[in-house]
Amino acid sequence: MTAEVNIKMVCTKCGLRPATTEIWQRYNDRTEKMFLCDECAKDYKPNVGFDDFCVLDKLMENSPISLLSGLSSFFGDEKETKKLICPNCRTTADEFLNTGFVGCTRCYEVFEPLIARTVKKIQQSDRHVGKKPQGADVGGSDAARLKEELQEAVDSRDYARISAISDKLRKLEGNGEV
Amino acid sequence: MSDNTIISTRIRLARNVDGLPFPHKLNELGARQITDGVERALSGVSRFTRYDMNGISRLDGTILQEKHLISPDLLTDSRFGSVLIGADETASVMVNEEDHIREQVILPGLSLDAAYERIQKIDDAIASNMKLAFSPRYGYLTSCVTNLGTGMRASVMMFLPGLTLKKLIDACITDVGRLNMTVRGVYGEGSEAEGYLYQISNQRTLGVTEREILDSVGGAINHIVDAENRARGLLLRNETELKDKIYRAYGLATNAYKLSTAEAMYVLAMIRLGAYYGYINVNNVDALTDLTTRCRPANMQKLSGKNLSIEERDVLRAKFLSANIKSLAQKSE
Ligand SMILES: [Zn+2]
Ligand SMILES: [Zn+2]
Repeated sequence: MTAEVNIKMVCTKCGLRPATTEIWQRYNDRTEKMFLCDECAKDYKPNVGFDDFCVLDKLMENSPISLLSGLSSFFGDEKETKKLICPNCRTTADEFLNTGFVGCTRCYEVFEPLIARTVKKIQQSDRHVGKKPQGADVGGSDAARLKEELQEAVDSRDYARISAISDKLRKLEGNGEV
Repeated sequence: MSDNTIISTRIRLARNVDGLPFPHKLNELGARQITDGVERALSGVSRFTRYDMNGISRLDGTILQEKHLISPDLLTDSRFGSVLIGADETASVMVNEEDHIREQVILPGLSLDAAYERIQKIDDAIASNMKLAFSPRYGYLTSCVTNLGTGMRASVMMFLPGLTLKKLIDACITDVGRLNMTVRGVYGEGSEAEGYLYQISNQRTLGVTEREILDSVGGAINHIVDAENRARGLLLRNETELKDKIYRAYGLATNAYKLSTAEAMYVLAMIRLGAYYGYINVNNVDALTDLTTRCRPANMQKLSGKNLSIEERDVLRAKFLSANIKSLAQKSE
């Protein structure tokens, strides 16, 4: 982008010389743009951070978090997963991996195994515990949620939790909710 | 009221409407549908004014950006972006930026709870008018996975000349990084040219409650305030030097014939620091913050009412700043 005629761009770093280079970087909830002069552009070192998706992609390739067993057998191997395209918005798995952006809510289902790993990596969690919108379909019964928790407990071999959750599930099912 | 170190608190919530593609895949019809929906929802909260990015000049848009009411992205990259701004300019809602809806409240000083309370009203009004994209597992669904869950960023703008001048800022950034916080210069890198202004905000949005986010940001802020106060104590070891720096800056602010944006940021920062040490009497610290915004390029341009070269703008800025500083701040002796 060239600087606007009526608002001349000055280098955002030194604030002295006219800006000649535009640099993009992802930070938390936004993509930041810096406009640098030749001098400052020479010294610019990209800040490798939480939201740097080029780095993220590399991290994921060595990720110790493997796909959930059920899903990975469904999708075949990882190469197959990377060929996925969202039927609703045409976003590709590659697009998601390179940018961290999905195109629609449906993408969250289509790319689930990829998203699960990415999310866990950058958020250190994959479970929402905060506010819910009023009247939202919070989806899933108590039983469904317990079953998910049970799977997690099994995965982590947390035997005390396994038996506690199984008890709760048995009670629920006894009430005929499922 | 803001104090010397904590300038303002901002809370943002990212929301999307269920059933429509995210903004970068959205067509004009869908975009308009969302903007109209948000406008309708907000009419029940209080008076909001709508600006469509396609319908305002680049200059007016840049002014909104310099006031932190919209993001640079909304101005330059959104295809059908709009913003709705509350009458007192503390609340604003960006539409079709990175997400369909970005709610924002900014309050002076450290006001995490008050800002959250205000944004809840906006959020609930929107949620009761439009079905929001939400999954039980990932919470509020957002176009980028960095905002999933609560979709919430709580950030505090801080004035940190002590840590910057004492070269302790990097250590401090690493410290609060361990608390899952991000530290960023407000206008880029937080250097002298930017008035030592930094934004501290939470990194994680998923797997934490809104309350936990507010508490963790608040905790980090307290930690940084302590560190900044210690650093300002260290600056006093060379008081003659410090006093001289501050008085020279005051001299520049009141006597220079031309001032660049960077110089204006610097002198305003030094006057604010001078107020902390009692070298300069400042009637109203918030007015200093306001001047920081009004000295930015687009605001200057607007003030003049005509197209200015960089040089003409710098002359106007010096005149403007001198008049304001003379009535706002006096050397104490
Ligand atoms: Zn520069
Ligand atoms: Zn999609």
